[in-house]
Amino acid sequence: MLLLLFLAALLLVTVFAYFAGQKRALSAVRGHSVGRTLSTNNFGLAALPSFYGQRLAYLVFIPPFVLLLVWWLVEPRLADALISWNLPESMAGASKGDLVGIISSIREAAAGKIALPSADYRAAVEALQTLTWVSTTGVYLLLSLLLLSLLILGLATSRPELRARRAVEGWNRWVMFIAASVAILITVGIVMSLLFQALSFFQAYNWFDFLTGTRWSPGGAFQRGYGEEASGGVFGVVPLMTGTLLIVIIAMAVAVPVGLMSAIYLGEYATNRVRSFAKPLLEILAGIPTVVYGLFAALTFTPWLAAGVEALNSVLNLPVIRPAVLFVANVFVGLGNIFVWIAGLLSGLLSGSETQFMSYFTQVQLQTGSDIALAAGVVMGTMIIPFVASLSDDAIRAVPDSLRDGALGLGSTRSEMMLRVILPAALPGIAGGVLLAVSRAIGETMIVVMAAGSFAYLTFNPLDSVSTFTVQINALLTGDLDFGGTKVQAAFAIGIFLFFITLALNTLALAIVRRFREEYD
Amino acid sequence: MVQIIDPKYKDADYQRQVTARRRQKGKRFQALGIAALAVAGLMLAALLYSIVSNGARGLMEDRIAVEVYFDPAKIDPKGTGELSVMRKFNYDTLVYPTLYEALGIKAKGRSDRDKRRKVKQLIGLGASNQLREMVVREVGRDPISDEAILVSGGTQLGDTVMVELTALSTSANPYTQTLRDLGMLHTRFNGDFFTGVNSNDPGYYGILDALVGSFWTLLVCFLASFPVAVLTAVYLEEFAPRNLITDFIEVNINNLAAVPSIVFGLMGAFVFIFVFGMPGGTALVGGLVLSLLTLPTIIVAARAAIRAVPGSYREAALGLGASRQQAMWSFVLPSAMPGIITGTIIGLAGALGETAPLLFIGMVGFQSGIPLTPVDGTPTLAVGIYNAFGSQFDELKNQLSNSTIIVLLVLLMLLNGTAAYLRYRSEKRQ
Amino acid sequence: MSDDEIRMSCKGVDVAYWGELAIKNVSMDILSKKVTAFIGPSGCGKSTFLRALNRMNDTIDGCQVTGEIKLDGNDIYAKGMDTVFLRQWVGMVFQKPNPFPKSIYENVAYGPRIHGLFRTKSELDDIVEQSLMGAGLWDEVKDRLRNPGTGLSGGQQQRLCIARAIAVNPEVILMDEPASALDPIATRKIESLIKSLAENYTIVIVTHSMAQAQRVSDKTAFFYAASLTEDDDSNLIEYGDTDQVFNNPIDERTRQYVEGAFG
Ligand SMILES: Nc1ncnc2c1ncn2[C@@H]1O[C@H](COP(=O)(O)OP(=O)(O)OP(=O)(O)O)[C@@H](O)[C@H]1O
Ligand SMILES: [Mg+2]
Repeated sequence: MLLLLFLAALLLVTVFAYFAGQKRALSAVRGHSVGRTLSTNNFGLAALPSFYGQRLAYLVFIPPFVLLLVWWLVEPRLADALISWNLPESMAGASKGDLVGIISSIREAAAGKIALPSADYRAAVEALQTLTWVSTTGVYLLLSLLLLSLLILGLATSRPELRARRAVEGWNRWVMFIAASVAILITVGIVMSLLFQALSFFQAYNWFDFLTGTRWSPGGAFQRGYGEEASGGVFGVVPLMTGTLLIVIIAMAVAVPVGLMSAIYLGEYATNRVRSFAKPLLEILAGIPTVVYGLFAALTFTPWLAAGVEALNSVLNLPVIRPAVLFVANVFVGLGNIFVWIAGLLSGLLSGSETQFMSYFTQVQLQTGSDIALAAGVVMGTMIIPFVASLSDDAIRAVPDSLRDGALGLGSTRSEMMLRVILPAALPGIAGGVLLAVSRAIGETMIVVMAAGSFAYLTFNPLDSVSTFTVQINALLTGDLDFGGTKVQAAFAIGIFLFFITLALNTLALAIVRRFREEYD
Repeated sequence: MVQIIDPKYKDADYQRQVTARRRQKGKRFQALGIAALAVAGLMLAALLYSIVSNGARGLMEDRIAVEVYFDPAKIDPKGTGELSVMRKFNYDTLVYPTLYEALGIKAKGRSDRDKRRKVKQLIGLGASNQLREMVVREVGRDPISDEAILVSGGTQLGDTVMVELTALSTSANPYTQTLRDLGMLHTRFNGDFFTGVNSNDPGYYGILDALVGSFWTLLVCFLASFPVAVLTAVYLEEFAPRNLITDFIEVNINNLAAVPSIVFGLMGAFVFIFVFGMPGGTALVGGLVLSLLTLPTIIVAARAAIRAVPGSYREAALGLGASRQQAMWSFVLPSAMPGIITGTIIGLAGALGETAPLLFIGMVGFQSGIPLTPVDGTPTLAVGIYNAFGSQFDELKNQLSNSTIIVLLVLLMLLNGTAAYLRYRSEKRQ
Repeated sequence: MSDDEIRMSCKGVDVAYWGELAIKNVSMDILSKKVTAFIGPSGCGKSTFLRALNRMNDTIDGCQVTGEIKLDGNDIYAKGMDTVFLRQWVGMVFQKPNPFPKSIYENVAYGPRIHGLFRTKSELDDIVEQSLMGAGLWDEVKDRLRNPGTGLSGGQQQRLCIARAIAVNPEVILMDEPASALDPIATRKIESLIKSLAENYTIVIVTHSMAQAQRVSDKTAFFYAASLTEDDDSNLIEYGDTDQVFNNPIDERTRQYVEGAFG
């Protein structure tokens, strides 16, 4: 309450200071203005009156405000420190669990909710009560005093010869610099918070097992398929990597050809009429929120795809087609067996077993999982189409027109010009764009959270259900957030993994694109 | 003439063949382009079809009109007359007898058990609440004892009242048509959708809280990102010295734009909620997290807008004796403002649709009430869609979620349309 | 000069951008195996007219050509005329060297490849070698045919572009200020190359250098901006033997221009 009151007062005084500063400077020269000289303006001041106002406003606002912020950050830590200082000697050896209990009862006693549990804690409780008084009342009294004295000091120094503009602009620069540094602050915040939690995780869990483990089973709901897990859970990210990779590959298989060809068609062939409805089409695709794509993928596209697979199954079982399909399948089985034989010959270790050839009477039956990786991938690809299209368009436009003229002047058709000259020239730019798209796909969350599986199967079958990094982060953080728990920490470990993968991809992509641009500048 | 090319290749007939083949190839290439656009168009059409067809169903609801006898023997068997006793009763059981009778189902016995279950499925979770509120309402809590303060809802025990209840899963229920024929079930516009707040009961689900929550979230997001972004852009464009720190800032801004949004969610949960102890699930935290995403967008747009201001403006102001900062604040920034605002609106539109960064800050799950301030717990529209998706009721998961999407898309269209209009206007002026 | 064979003939050619005439009523005959120079002040439409000669204007939005341009008696703007076909016969070299970002070999082989002008690899090798020799570049690059064409010096790049143009064995080569981006020595090389090419090809060259026009060309056409000549019925002011145009011009504006009074 007092906080709001104080903030209001601070603002009021600041506004007052702005006008008072101007008045004060003007009144100092009233009556005996020397007029304009090299060091003063028409008012007889060294700067415009408003600068005196701004200076005073800055002066009264910043110190109390900064102090308030600092106090706000320091206060919680101070409370903990105060309690532990004032605990009786006998408590030094108490276990961690006991301490937590004691501290919370001390807090409650200080707040007046419970009676003092023991005379030993009197010192701590009293110290805490003092602190509470300070942070609710004392600080504001002090800051108000500071505010007033700053105002008086500022008014006293608002003399005509004061170079108020310089002062104000100097402070302005600092404010701008601090604003610009927020970007750094955020990055530091991200890295620190991810690292902090991830490091705790890696103290409890071997990082090598994390990176190379082929089982992801954090416990609880994820134990389906494996027996009971005695300890806290198994965190091997390989199935997540393969799952993410599978979905990203499917997404790119949709987005890259469709996006690239759309860009080429719109840039090179389309009439203005086609362009006038195709461009907005891509813009709409780009503007649809990912949660909308996710819902579509989970509730509409997955059932469609499942139905499509069913239909395909009946086609595959038609009289002539079935033997043909089985023959092809058997060829693959044969090839696989040859591979197994060779591997077996080369090393006794690789004792892979042969696969049985399929009987030509077998029913061909493609199975779909409860979630279908293909569905999530295709929808994610759709989402990325406009991204790829716009980056390809940029890359194609960056190829100088002289190459276009050169190709056409030799009698190329437009598609020959495109395929043989422009596209090869734009390839680095397009590749950079595709990398950016890949990085986006890896970090994409909602579509996979809603439409990909939560169980991390290790498979590359696009009709099966797979899980991804982002799905697992969400799964681990669902429910109560216990920042000391392994599950939450594991989520941050994946987070930092994700952060660095996307960072690396982006840096690489931007480097490629930049070099490509330089080539044609 | 030196013969570089064997004349047989320049023969007109041969060339005609070659050219025809090449033209054919070109046609095929062009057809690929059309196919690509068609794929994109088809996917969009499928998406919109799914949204509109499901969403439209969510905007309508089926209601059952039924006479309810508030049987004192059931509600307050001991006849205490205490509101707190009446409050404990499970009121939806009052509805079933009437329905069984109308449908000719035996109220007891094994034979009709499945039929009775089907009838029960028709009545939503909220029916009990709705009927209870008619008898007894909670108006607040006693600050000291923390007990509910109860008042009478107007209906007396023993009354028989005609009530309308929401019917659930009607499309799959065998009794829907019979009830409709009996005049007990009708379909009407789902007004609750716009006036209600989120609920796990499709019959009462509404988006008003999510709308308000989105508004607060965007407001916080704007207040947190706009000033910082504009100051950053001004600094980098006009005042920053060419040095390592400036380069580092630029690198950081570029990287921020590429960080997956879920990572901002992780950081937000940890920093804002765990470290700073801000209240979870609120527009305050949501807006702050989203401001991390909009910041780079606005910075980039603002820098482009400032760069686009003709240098002559600056020189004119400097020539009049203005300082560099005066020129900035009084000439350059105002003329760059339309561009900056356009970029800001686009950034906010993006924030409006974001869900992933809000997953871990306590917005997921059902909250209560319309958020009156930014520090009340609330979902945003986008999170509301995800919440509805998590429901076990088809109406909520499939239909009302899509209805919410329609509202979200309309808002996005308004925002982006405004941005497009602003851009168009400022382009026309130049 | 009655025995000169006419390669291209133009009658009443107008070229307009978005309805605005840039070339007005130009008629001229371009002679076989001669160098024809287009001169005139900037913006008078030389490039526009040159690009009309192999329909490169087709690629420009809003550009409209009317009138009649014939190559060996065939109207190149006729309905059935395929530009792909036409540009094999009328090649073009641009102001700024524009080698493709491919190897030197592939740059030259590009034309023959797309037009299907060889069947065996050795045929293609021959074409590349002959073309590079024809462009006077062979000795300089024969050891690094696989290096990127963009790695050559400006003058070499321009000769590579000329080699690329002659690799499809055109009848006519159009050159738009081919030496204006080059230093004097490279310019000299290009000039002498043009003279030697004229033994086999018909060449049309746009130049801003009077000296260059005099050194390389047999015929000279002087253009003047159409907007300045509302009264005139054409912006081709004068067309004749280079000697005559430079030493004994008929039109006053030609005389002023060649004497350097403007432009
Ligand atoms: N793509 C175009 N669209 C519209 N107008 C054009 C276009 N290209 C040229 N013009 C106009 O046509 C006229 C002739 O241009 P052109 O390039 O042919 O002149 P030029 O004689 O080659 O000049 P220069 O010596 O500078 O190269 C000019 O007025 C020019 O502005
Ligand atoms: Mg020109």
